[in-house]
Amino acid sequence: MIAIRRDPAAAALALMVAAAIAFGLGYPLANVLGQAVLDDLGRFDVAPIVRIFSFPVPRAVVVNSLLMGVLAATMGTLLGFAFALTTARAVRGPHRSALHYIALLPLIAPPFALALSTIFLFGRQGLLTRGLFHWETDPYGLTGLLFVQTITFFPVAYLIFDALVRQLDPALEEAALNLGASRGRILRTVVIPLLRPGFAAAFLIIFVESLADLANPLLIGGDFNVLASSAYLAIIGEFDTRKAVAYSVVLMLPSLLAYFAQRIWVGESSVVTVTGKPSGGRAQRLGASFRVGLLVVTGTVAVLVLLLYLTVLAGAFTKLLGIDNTVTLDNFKFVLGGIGTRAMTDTTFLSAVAAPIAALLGLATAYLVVRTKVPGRTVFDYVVMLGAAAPGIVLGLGILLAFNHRPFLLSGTAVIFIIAFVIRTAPVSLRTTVAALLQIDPSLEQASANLGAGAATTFRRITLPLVRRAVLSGAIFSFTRNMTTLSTIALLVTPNWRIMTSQILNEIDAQRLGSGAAYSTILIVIVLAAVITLNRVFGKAPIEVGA
Amino acid sequence: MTADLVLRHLEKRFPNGTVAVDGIDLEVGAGELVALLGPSGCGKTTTLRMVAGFEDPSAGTIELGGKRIDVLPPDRRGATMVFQGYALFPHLSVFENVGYGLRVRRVGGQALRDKVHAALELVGLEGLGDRRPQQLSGGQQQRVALARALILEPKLLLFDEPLSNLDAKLREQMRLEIRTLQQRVGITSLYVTHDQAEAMTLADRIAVMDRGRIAQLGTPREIYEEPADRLVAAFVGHANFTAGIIRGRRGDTLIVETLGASRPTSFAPGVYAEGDQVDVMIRPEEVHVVPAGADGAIAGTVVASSFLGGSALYQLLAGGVELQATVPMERGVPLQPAGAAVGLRVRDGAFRAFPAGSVPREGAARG
Repeated sequence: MIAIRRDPAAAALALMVAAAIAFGLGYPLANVLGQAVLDDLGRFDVAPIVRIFSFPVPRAVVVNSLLMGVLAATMGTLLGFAFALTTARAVRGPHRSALHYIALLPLIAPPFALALSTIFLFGRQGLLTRGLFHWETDPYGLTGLLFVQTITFFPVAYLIFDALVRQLDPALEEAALNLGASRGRILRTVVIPLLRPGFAAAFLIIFVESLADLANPLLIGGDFNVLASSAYLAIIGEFDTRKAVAYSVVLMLPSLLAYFAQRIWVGESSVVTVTGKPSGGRAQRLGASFRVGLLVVTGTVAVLVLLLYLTVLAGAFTKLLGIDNTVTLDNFKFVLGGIGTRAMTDTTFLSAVAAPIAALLGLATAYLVVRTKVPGRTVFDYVVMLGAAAPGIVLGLGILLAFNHRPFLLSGTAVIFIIAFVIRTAPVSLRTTVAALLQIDPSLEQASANLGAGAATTFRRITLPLVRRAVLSGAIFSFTRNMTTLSTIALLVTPNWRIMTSQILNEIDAQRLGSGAAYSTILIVIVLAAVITLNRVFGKAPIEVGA
Repeated sequence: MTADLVLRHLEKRFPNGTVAVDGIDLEVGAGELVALLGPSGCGKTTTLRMVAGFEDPSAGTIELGGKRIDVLPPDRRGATMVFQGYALFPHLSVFENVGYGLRVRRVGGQALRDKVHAALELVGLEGLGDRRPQQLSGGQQQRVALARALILEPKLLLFDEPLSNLDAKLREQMRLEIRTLQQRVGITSLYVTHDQAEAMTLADRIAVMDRGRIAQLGTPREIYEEPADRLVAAFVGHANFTAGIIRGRRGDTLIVETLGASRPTSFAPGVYAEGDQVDVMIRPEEVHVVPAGADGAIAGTVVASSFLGGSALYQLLAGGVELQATVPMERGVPLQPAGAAVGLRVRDGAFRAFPAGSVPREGAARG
């Protein structure tokens, strides 16, 4: 409510953010759409695009993608729910923490690590399947893809349910118990209905992530082609821009629909479950047999997650895991002796430069949306979020198309990666900062103004220190995401700048699985080291905000 | 007393059509404390926020010390505020909170330290400068907020229900502290509250607000003893109402037939004629409970009675009218039980008439 509208700074800020988004996001996406609806001579014509989908293969690709998205979202959501229920109601103490952190592990995995270890464990030469049980298996295709995607994306659902379950008012369950409901009935009639927005949100988010996933379909999809991988292969293998654009446009539609459905529909209804202050009381434990069943499922998955990670390590330190298990450092020597060292420094440098910019763009947008009266400010929110809602491959394609000709000839430069990273990760910073700003009672900023501080001073001395943690976590997230993304940069790599994920893809393509594992290990170590260091350096005790 | 803060026909309409403040005029003298009192939604907080600059008036002007301040941004008005939730900066120490306004004005070094220490001493918080606000009790946080506002030596001090987060005991103590401090510093103050006891204790004058207007402006005593309408009467203290008919007029009192007799009655502003229906107010402490059948007493029955310590509260029924009475209690004197027949006596000067049904009853104000 503060009268910043008297302050022209807000208008200037709005203009700067608008310019940044228009350049980094609007212009590239416009290039994709332009290619989709204009023919080679620049006339409006959608016939070339439509014609592509008259052939059976592209049609199958669309069906495959939707099938994969729905199945992966269903399985990921259910597994995430099972984990949240387990950590909230079935285990306590150190077991709870262990399960919690194991469930979060896949979030920091570079895109190939899990697929790679799945191939090591369950592949044609799989350690478990062939080595232990002498089974003939073939993980390549929908089954393997779903397995990897479920493990990769269930943590997203877990985080959503975990937050919601904590907000459930125990008094509601006590009331149901008091009225004579059994534990199973409480779960069915009280807990699950209250978590319904969580189910919708988790399903939609995983659906979007699954569709946008590039690494797993490339690595383990086999002949099962999906939109993202087809768009990638159209450029890399066939140099067919129009085909890539066609796949991209079709990929955009369900992604954006699901994304905005989640924002509008779930975003509002989820507030209902927040019952304010917990009214004391203890959450009800689960029935014994149900609890055991739940523990078996989540326990198995937790062991599997650990196993997959250890397998990456084992793969990195052996000649060729499953065939020649000699312990060796050759993989690391090969990687670090080759272009691996450059890839490490290049990727880390680009990621580190982009991270604070993404955090600042998120902060600027969040401030515009929450604290100013600039007309149309909510539009900024939705437009910036497009950077995360659009599949990475589409964004990458747009940036490739937009910046390889005048007036912005940037291909091959560092700038192009930084644009991609910033646009891709600013949305998360935006969300965390919006949440933090909404936590700050407006009376704090009013008090500052009342004591004689102008808008700029208030921002610097009051607002910024109070949202510092959110901005920092936005920057840390940006850094890790930049380090580990493949889909956004897959089409942008040139010999000028080496990106680790792209190098991993090359190694695996060349059947050098051991080097791929070594690369992945190095990547995980860099990310973990950076996150821990940044938290140590900047993250003092969090501040309780509000009265 | 010279007027220091002057509100002229101040008005606030929100875009959705609600009229929060409906053209009020108010003058606050130098060094005076005026309380804006009223139920929630009456416009008192909006008025205060317009003075602070957090809301723009739709019409009207605000002057402070002879200069218009409604055209100034909130940080240039020289009117500091004590917020409802204190709004202490959680990431700053007590010292930094209190010194914030001076730092903004580029005061630093020894001058800053001296002033902050003096301000902390003024509110009795010496030695707590290094604490974080969260480490203080509610009353201490309240004092920090006060020190933070006072240290700038503002021309005007604004209070937005500053005591509403404190428990009853502490609230009473802080009321007196704020009053003492305000008088010692001699600062012009505008104080928003919905608590009539708070307004009575603190204020030189009270402006009772109702639906965006000032229903009555006066000293606490005037407000209580000569309420301008039924709403003010009911909002400030408890008011018994009974129906009456005007039988005549004698100087500046009406003769009203009520509770079975003709009684001299003071009256609120309005038009009165013989034979008119009026509402007659009697304060509970003016209803005296005497033995049944006592000479000239109104016959009544006890509906309920409760012991409050120094006094007793009776719910009574007399001639079909429900009356509340607070009666001083003496040790050993028994309470009249429910159903007991009693007599009631009311002093002649204790009746006050209002035009019948002139104002909707309490609670009808918009939310």
